[in-house]
Amino acid sequence: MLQEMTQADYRDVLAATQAGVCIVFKDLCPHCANMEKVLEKFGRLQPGAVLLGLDIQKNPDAAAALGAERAPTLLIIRNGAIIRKKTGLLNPKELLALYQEA
Amino acid sequence: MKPEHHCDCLILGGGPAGLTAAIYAARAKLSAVILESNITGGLVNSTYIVENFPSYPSIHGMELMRRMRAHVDGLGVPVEEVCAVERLDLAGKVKTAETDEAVYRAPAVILATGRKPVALETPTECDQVHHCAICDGAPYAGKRVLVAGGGNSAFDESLYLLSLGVAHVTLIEVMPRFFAAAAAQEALFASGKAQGHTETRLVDLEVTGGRLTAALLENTATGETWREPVDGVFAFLGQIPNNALFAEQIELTKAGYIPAAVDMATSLPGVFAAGDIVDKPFRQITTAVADGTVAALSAERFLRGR
Ligand SMILES: Cc1cc2nc3c(=O)[nH]c(=O)nc-3n(C[C@H](O)[C@H](O)[C@H](O)COP(=O)(O)OP(=O)(O)OC[C@H]3O[C@@H](n4cnc5c(N)ncnc54)[C@H](O)[C@@H]3O)c2cc1C
Repeated sequence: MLQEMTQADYRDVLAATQAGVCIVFKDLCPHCANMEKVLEKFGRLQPGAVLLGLDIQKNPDAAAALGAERAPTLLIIRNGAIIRKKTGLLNPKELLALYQEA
Repeated sequence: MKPEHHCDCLILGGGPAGLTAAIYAARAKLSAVILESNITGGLVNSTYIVENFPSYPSIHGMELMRRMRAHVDGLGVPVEEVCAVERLDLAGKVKTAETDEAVYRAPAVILATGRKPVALETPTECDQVHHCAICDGAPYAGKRVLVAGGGNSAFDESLYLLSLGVAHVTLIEVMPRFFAAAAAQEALFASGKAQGHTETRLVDLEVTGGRLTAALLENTATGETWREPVDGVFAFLGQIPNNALFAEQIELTKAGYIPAAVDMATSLPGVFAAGDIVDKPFRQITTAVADGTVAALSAERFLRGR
């Protein structure tokens, strides 16, 4: 469901994303697992959005370069650039609103 | 129009109580659905290591709950996660739960919504903040901890932490006095290993290299601030039962818990309760699992006897 990015390809993947959301997550983090489910629901409400993921433990430098210090952090992407960042929990409606206002 | 689903038993909450209820419901050939506002696993998901669940001497909380969930999935019980129950109607023979996506109807309901700790709000977060001394106290033997809260549970849990070998407890209460029973206060301070501060609040946490090193405290009466070196923080600011969905519909205790009968029946026919939401003295995974078992078997008996 989520396209997982790595240290090696995150720049290219982000640059090629017209509109989407990226979750910076950590394994065994319940809030991240929750946000991944929220993203799945959001994906059904907004089928055009690209859904990306970056594991902060496997890719610490990439996460730091994206300004994500904590997991979960959500990044809203438009035209290859990050235009909004939000840390912590959101429900699918809140995420949709954040995405649409961004 | 939202799609409608009919089943024998609706289970609200997918913590240990709800997941166990689902296993027993499935084994009893009842059709059941779990509606979970977050992800399944409940409070155990945020427990670093569980060391008192029989068969796993030591297991990460999320891992334990993944296994419980896999057991439920193996029995084919549908689970709706991140699902907002917008309306719950427990009256009448057929109960209804309307979520953001669908309407569910069933003659039996198991309420297993658990509770949530009152959060400790600090600008800095860290993994060494806990809400359960039984669960997370052991690694602090020989170390210093801060206990936030001045009620019975803060004092009882501080005494328990000392019994585990914790070297020193600094206990803070934001109000001008501690509210715990005098005997508990005496016992704690007589230990010589505890210091209490009233009118004191936690301003922030100092984290170095990912580990907690100190708490920054403030005396709210004098404005004095200081740095208290600690290795862990235990917050006992109280727990809130997750009862908002049904508070107006079934009998609750003054504290907001469900006074369930021995068969987990509530004040409404066909509505059963299980786990931490129940009024009881000990709230652990094993007691939640036991309640889930009884609630599902009672729901089965109720359904067969109609
Ligand atoms: C920090 C901590 C550590 C702990 N460690 C241990 C330990 O090591 N060993 C041990 O035995 N016990 C431990 N406990 C206690 C144990 O976690 C609980 O007793 C147990 O989780 C209770 O299970 P439950 O299913 O009743 O409730 P919960 O685990 O609270 O699950 C309730 C579920 O219901 C969901 N829910 C709430 N409201 C709604 C709603 N309106 N609609 C749908 N779903 C809803 C919640 O999201 C949650 O998933 C610990 C508790 C804490 C706080």
